[in-house]
Amino acid sequence: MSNGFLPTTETVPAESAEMVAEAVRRAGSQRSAVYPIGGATALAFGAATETAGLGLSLARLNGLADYPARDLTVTVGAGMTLGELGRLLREENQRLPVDVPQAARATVGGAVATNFSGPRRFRFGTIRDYLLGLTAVDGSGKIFSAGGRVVKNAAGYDLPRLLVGSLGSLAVVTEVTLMVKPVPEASALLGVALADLRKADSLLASLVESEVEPVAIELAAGALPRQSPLRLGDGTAAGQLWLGFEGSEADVRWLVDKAAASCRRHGAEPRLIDGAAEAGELWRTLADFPACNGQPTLTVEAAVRPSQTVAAAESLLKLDGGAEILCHAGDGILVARFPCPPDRAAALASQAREAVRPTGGKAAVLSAPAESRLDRSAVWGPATEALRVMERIKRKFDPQGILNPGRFIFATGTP
Amino acid sequence: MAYEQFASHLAGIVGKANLLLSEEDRNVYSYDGTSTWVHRPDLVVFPASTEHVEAVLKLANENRIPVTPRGGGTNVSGGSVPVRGGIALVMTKMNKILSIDGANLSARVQAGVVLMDLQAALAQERLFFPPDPQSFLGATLGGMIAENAGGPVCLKYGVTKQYVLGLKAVLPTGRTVEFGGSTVKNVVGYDLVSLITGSEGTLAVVTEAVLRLLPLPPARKTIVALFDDLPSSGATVGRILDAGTIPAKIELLDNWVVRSINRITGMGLPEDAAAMLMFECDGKEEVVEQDSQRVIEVCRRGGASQVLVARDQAQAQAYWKARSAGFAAVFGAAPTVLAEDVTVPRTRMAEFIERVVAICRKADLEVTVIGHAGDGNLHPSVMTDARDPAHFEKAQKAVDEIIQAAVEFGGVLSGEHGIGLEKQKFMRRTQDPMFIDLMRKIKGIFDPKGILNPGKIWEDGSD
Repeated sequence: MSNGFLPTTETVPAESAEMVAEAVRRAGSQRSAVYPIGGATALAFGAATETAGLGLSLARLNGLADYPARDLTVTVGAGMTLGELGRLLREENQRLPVDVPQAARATVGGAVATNFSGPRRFRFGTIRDYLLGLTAVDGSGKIFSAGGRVVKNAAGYDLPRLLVGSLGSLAVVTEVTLMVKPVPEASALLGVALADLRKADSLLASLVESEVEPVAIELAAGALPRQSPLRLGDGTAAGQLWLGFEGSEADVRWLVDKAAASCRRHGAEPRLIDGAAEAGELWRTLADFPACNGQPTLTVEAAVRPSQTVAAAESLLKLDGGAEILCHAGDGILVARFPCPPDRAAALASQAREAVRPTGGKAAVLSAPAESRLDRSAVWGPATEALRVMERIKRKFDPQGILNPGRFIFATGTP
Repeated sequence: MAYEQFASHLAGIVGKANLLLSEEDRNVYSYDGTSTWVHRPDLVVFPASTEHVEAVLKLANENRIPVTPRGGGTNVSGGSVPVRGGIALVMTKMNKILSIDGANLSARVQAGVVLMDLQAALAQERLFFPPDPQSFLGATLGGMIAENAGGPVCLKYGVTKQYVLGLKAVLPTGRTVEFGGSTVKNVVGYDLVSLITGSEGTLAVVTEAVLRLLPLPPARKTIVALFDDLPSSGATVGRILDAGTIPAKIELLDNWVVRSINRITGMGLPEDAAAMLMFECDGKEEVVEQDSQRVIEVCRRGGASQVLVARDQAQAQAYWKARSAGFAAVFGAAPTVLAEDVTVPRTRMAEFIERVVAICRKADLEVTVIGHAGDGNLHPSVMTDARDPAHFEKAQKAVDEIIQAAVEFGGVLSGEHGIGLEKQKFMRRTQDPMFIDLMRKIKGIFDPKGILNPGKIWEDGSD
């Protein structure tokens, strides 16, 4: 498969961990790069790389290895899509409560590599919190297994978590064991249009410490509130708050009533979305927001302390009032999408990083137009003092530096 | 460097008052919550600041002197026993809560803060830190982070790892590095916070941590259910969780503990009950009420011979105290207790306990099993006497069989206590050698001279 992001000379499918190991070893002997590819939904994530190499597709490593449903665990091939996993789990009335954009195409292995998450992160965390064990192939082509298949494990270093968010730079994940959860009886969203973004602050503060316990606290700002299906009322709101609730029918009803009353006390009239179809579409829209929309855009993810969310959103909007911003406000995570021609991306990424700095925030680029070829400092920002330790870890797992070279935080050519 | 000279260097760093050298003093730091391993450190050092830790580690590293970090010493896998001698680095004087940020549900603490002191301070602000090891009276946050501590409420809330946002830690070479930060998401690089958390003090000495907190649940309710047979209790736990009700705690106690509770408290529980389940539901009052009703119903339908509901917090506390006392009695029932920690798939819990009982019956050993039933994390405790070599050997053999059985049942070696010294041979026997090799490489990055808590996890502690 050809794509504008990775300099792959060819892409070959792997159907087993052994085949992955063999491909990595062969690449190693030729000192050629290996780019693991799952659903190809996150190829725009990471720094531009010029090192030509082999695309290694995990899409066919998509089998179900074990699903002891009553133990609330499942073991699947890394190439299984989250959509397919969701279908399998639903047969047992279970789910993985992690929102990964483009779930129909995104794979479990890709979710581990990127650690992408969405609205429900506030209550349910990320795939990191569900990853019990895995099998993977390191940069020298050796297969290893770490972790277990039970929900509680304190045996040795947590290598599965080390691989979460490592963008395939340490090992190619071939199989994962995940903890799963029962599907809640009911799910509803409560939307509130805000004339003034600042109004969100006091409402959010009251929610974080209230008894209302939403599973998601989403704040849409900039151009986003005007877009369907998020649009509320006449679409002129400066901001829009979506509170997600899940649980038993009775719990959700009670929580929604309480939250609605709390919103009214703050002078906002909420709208309830609790029909399965409508609520489902809204959850998907929120979860899919970070995905590229086909336009030339720069998407930046910033992390601040939750109380600084609104301030950070305002700073980002000062860069471009036409930006679309979705904040996972309970966790202080902002995803901002700017219309952006390729030649502006590096400068804009740097401005966005500067904009959240006064609020103590950090930022990374989630995607940029392929032609912008952002380098690692534009994508990841300045190195932290832990970089040296990370470089050494990288070298131990991938001595020749052939796994996804140049895309992560290290200089090309590391080791 | 001669011992006296080395000691005087240390005194120069931390001050004479923070250095213990006498044999009696050093004995105090020679063992942990187990009674199985004893090894006296050569020096006991109490740092009062990150700078002290830096200087001590630098000196030790230059001289290749082993350093074993230690909090309250309440751990139960040998993790804080200085098996190679050297320095016991006791963190208990770094015990300040540096800040509590209610708006962002986080706190910054020094590593030596005791869990109970933190909870007391947080309760003032209607907040709490969820992990709840039963050693909360003495366990320090640094120790909990080193061992990735669990506890009963981990069923609903998860383990320590899920509540650590950032760490300030000193590498064995004496360099301080901040990992993670004060934001929920750390956008750049590998998750080294998760690597250090649970590394049993073998990679770095944590001096400060930023913790994630939760609002204190406004209501809680305790339910006790007794069963005539183990499988019914196991199936009941499954049905409750399948229905989507997640109580904060589901504790399983066996007949030994039931009888022990009767003896101590006169609660009058049925003496022949094979299993007792204790539930705590927490959250908002209305939700707690509903969840409790569901738990009671499922227990009754699942064949519970008796279901008790605590009428108020005082009675609930009495029930939980009875549980603690009932189990603690095991440590008075025999001179040595081998308290195990394994996790098996939840659905095979009853079967596993029956196997444990069979193993011990065959060897003519007394055993009791308690556990965190919701996540299949069980603590079988075999009663023996270390001074009676024949009996002790028999008990150790039984424990080996128990751990082997857990692995056979699809479980793991340790649910929440860590590997430490206790399970090294099983680590080597049951884990992928490649996994151990990768751990060894990571250890080498952090600790090139191997001075930090040597002899633990996969290394041979006996040499």
